[in-house]
Amino acid sequence: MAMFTAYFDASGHPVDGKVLTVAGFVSTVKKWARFEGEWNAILDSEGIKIFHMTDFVASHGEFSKGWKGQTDRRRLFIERLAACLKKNVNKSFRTTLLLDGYYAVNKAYEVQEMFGCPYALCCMICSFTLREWAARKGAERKLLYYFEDGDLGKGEFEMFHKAAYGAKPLFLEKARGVPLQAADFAGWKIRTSVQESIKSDHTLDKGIRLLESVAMLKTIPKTAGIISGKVLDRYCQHRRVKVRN
Amino acid sequence: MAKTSKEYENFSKAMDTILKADPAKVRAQMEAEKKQRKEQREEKATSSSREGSETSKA
Repeated sequence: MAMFTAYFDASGHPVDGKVLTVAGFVSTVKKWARFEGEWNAILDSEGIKIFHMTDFVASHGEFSKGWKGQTDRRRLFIERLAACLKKNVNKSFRTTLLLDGYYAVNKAYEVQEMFGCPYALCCMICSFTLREWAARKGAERKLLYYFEDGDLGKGEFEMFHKAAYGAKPLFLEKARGVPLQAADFAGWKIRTSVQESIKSDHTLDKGIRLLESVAMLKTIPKTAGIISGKVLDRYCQHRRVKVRN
Repeated sequence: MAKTSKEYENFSKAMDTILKADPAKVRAQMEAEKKQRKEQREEKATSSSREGSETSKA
């Protein structure tokens, strides 16, 4: 039985933003090694050391020279990265939390005390779905998973993870884990597409464009969920979560 | 509606499993461990500075 590793990253600001997404991929150690070589070769060919989606989108950092407005170059680059991902990962796991809903229900019920802060909640659901997947494959003891280090809410996530699984989760810096760059890419794509789709001026045209922008990720098998205020409120009512004073 | 229902089922299944242990108890345990580590660090720092000053006297 192969050894599996998964890497996750969060996208979105848990306080100021509308949407928070935690996304990642699982693959075998062997395929991740191949991924790393291929991913870095694509970056090298464009003179990039580390891929940061926010820098790419804003043409900042390593993308500040020769990328702005270069539609063909940008499209081709993203297509190459997406193809590399598709070839080398087994499955994608992602959880998206609609923050307005979370904070509204948190006013009525002790949501944060019960489920943790937005980051902890999304990470816990990702951990759960990944572990369920591994259990179905009989690979629970052959699974390691990492989250990108440095996100707000890390302490709470550690606490909830330890409570559920008896051990703290593992963290890695982006520079030390190339697959975290892929998680960053997916998290950003998913978060922005959900963010756009809940805007009041959302149109069919925009919807089609959004679908096209995440098309390359859609071909990768996934377990994905969106937690809205409705979902949280229903759970709080059914499970008698403590009403806030 | 059906999508929300499916999302609820998935969320509910996840949370029912995740929340089996009481996070409040774990939080208390983690805080106690943190406090213990801090005390040990302080104790170590105090004893090493004491040793240092005794060495310089000698």
